Amino acid sequence: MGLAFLVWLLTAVILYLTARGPWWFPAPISQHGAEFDKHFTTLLWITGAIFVAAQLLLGYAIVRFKSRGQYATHSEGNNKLELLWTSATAILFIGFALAANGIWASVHLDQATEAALKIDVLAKQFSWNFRYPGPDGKLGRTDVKFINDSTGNPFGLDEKDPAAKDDVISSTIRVPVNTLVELNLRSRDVIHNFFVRELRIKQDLVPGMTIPLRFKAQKEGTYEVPCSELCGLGHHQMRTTLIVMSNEDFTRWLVDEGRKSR
Amino acid sequence: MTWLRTHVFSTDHKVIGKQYISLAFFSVALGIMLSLIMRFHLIRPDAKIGWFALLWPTGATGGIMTPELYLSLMTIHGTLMVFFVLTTAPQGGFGNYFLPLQIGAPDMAFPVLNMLSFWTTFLALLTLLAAFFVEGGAPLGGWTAYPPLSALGQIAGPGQGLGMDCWIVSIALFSIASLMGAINFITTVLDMRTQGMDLMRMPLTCWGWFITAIISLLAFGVLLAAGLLLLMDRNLGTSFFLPAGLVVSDQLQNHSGGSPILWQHLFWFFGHPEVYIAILPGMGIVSTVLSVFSRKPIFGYKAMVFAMFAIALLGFLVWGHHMFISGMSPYSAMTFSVLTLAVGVPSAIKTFNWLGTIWGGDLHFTPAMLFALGFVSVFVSGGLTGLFLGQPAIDLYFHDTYFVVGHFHMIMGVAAIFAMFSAMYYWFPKMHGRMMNAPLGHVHFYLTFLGVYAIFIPMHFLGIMGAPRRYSDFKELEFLADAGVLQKFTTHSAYFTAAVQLIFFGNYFYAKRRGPAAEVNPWRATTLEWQPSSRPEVHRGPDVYSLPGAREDFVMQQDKK
Amino acid sequence: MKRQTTAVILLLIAVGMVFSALTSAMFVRRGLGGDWIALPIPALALWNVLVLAASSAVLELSRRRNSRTLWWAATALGMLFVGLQLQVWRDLSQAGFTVSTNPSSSFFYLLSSLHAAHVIGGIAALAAAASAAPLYWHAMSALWAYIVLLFRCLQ
Repeated sequence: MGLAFLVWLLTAVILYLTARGPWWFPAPISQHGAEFDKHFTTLLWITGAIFVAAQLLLGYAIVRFKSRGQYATHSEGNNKLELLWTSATAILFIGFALAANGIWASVHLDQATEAALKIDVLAKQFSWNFRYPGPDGKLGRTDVKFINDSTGNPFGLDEKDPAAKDDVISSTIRVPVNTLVELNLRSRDVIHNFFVRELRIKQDLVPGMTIPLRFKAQKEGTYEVPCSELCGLGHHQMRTTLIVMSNEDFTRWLVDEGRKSR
Repeated sequence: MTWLRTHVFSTDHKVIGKQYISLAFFSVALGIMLSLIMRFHLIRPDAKIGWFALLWPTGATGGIMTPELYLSLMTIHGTLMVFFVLTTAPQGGFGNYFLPLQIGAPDMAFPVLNMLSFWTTFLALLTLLAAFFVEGGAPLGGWTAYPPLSALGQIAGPGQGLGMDCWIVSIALFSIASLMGAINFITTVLDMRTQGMDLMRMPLTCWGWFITAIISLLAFGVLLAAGLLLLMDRNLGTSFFLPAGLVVSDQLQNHSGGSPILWQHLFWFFGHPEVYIAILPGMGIVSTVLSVFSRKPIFGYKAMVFAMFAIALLGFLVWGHHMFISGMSPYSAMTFSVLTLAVGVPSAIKTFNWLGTIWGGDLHFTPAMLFALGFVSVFVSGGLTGLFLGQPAIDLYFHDTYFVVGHFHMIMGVAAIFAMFSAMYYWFPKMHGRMMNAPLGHVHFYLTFLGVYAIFIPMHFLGIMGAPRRYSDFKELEFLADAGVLQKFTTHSAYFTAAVQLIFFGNYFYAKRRGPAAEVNPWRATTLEWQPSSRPEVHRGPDVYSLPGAREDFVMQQDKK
Repeated sequence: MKRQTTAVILLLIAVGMVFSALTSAMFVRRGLGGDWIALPIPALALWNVLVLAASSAVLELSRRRNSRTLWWAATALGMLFVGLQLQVWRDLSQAGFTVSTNPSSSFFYLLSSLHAAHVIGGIAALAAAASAAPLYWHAMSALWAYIVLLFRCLQ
């Protein structure tokens, strides 16, 4: 008996915290983020309904069928019921999977229809480096053998390449608002992960691979980027910020930085 | 000599079963202690604790825990719980003790092999714990041991040297022990059943152990293979998992062409079925306990057996859902997603059938029954969040957040542990000839039930906020500045729930010595372990309760018509 | 005894999973990039397929004729196989292929030494005259033929 009330109480508390609690997603800053939230909310309503129904039923059965000396009904099952709930859950669950594929495809499969700002990303234990082509619009040649953090060459830029001279290197990532950005994610030691909560995207950086990731931020501001794949003892300190700026500010910043690096 | 033979190097399945349970008790106690230290560190990262320095002179110099110590505790916590608790207690422990009794076999098919599996497991445990005492300490890469972090050696972090080698050898030994166990279990079920014990007359517990053994047989070999490859990358200079051009601490590494993703495929091909290795025996136990204390046959026995097989089969096809954001092909992510949600179907079938079993019953709330009912509640709560994580579009946000931590602790940890508690309260009279104290069992259940929800529900909210897992502290993240209350609540709930377990251990050890003597069949159950003769002939299924016209509300399996 | 046969079949399934995992890892690794060098398998490795096959045949004959002598002959051929495998590894390393030279040689050393370990286990089972040993032994013969074939195909 007590168990029934405890089950119901916990269900009510979980419902309350989900509906009214302060702990929730930050507001999305991209169209993808808004779509993610919409899908998540739909899913939450359906699974929430199943959750409540199952816990209510469980509690009800506990109260209703508590032993009062009655004789239990001898039933070994019901094939019609089995068929019904098997097909119902199959349709529902597989429907979920298919419904969400559109959002997944928009991040990873859709071809870009506009030119994207390309940023080279190279992660290492335990910091981030972002590289933009300078005024010449070209990324310079790199080689791992030139990598040297103490001389400020985390990408291993080849000094002999003229295109490398004006590359802008930054430990935070700055992007212009409402512009399609394509990151080329790489890691030079272990697996790291690029995660921006407000964009609702997350991607591993795997050594030996270059993984593209596209997004378009639609709101100016500063957003945190916590490394989200265990990378060693400094994992919890591996953090950078995404700064979404107006187009003018971004261009000015890039030119200023390009001048400095030369 | 005789004492050694009967109590230590015994080939009796009952003794070996108890040995496995003792090993799991030790591991779970240690695992919980490690998690409490971790939870403490998360809310007071700068605290100076004298005995930390005593225990870990290098990891906690001056009593302040270093991030690497935190991560190594986490690695060992996960490894202990997944392998040495959730894989040993349900299968090696209760399975060894009760499978032969329930199918009317004199012992397991190969008693000496059985003993060898236990001692190999024991050796694996010692090897794992040795990692704490070698140079650099225990590994910090988590129980999933992703390369390159796990393959580079000491240069990637403390504990990644000899400590990591200890971990791999331990897991390899554990795999071998599990394979020996699996062969023994399957052979016992196939060739050792007493007369009349058709497969479809076996209790669902036996089906759980049988199917778990099949999964183990197919999965542990793959883990073993992956472990060998990793050992070679670490010690023989090969490049299976290590690509070219790695620069670690400014040093260019001499490897070429390997792929870190390859490890993830091999690991999760084992790792996902491992979840079912942990939970299927529990499902069998819960089905049986619900039926006994509802005085009703299992609702849809055939559907239950079918669902277990479906879970086992689909369990081998869904490993990719751990790798949605790893950079594998987006198309395969879609396939894995559909298959993953498909595993939800047999799980839902089981839940419906459990509800069907208690529906219309005559429910007796013994501690075993309470834990079985609690299992159903927790299984629903933990299972539904899996529907979110099984979709790559949603996993784009939730991967490696506390949402995942909350999810798998609910469905794999708590659910399986509830099933073990249920099994312990249920079979204690058979194993020790005495009764555990029921009122204490009630208190233990209610407080634990409340406690586990209080620990793991807040983790889901942390995950929704985006908190990454495997962080030794969250000071750096501004967006979690307001989440301190969740962390504190979780930590205190963990203290509370761990303390409550002392009630169980007290009850257990007291009852073992001083509990009131048990009757032969205290729960009026129908299966063979509750009858006195040794190898009876079986005449009916395992769950004949409340048969209209029968003398009593249960008919035992060996009773003639 | 029936249960020994069951157990050996199960053992072979488990061993099969280890080798399938390694085989698929090998195909994945080979497909990753251009660093795979075809391995010049020493001729002796091929001859060794015949040695094990002969051992299997003799063992089968021994079982049919119930002959202890032939059983020991089969066991001796198994030991010869292990001895010759040592020479195979020596040949390979003299040709410049050590375990870390190339993924192809890494996989070859791993697969062949794992197989050899299983053969040594088989020799022990034969020496103990275990009733289900022949089944296991034939599987080991087939496994070596498979490994050699695999590396031949990858050239």
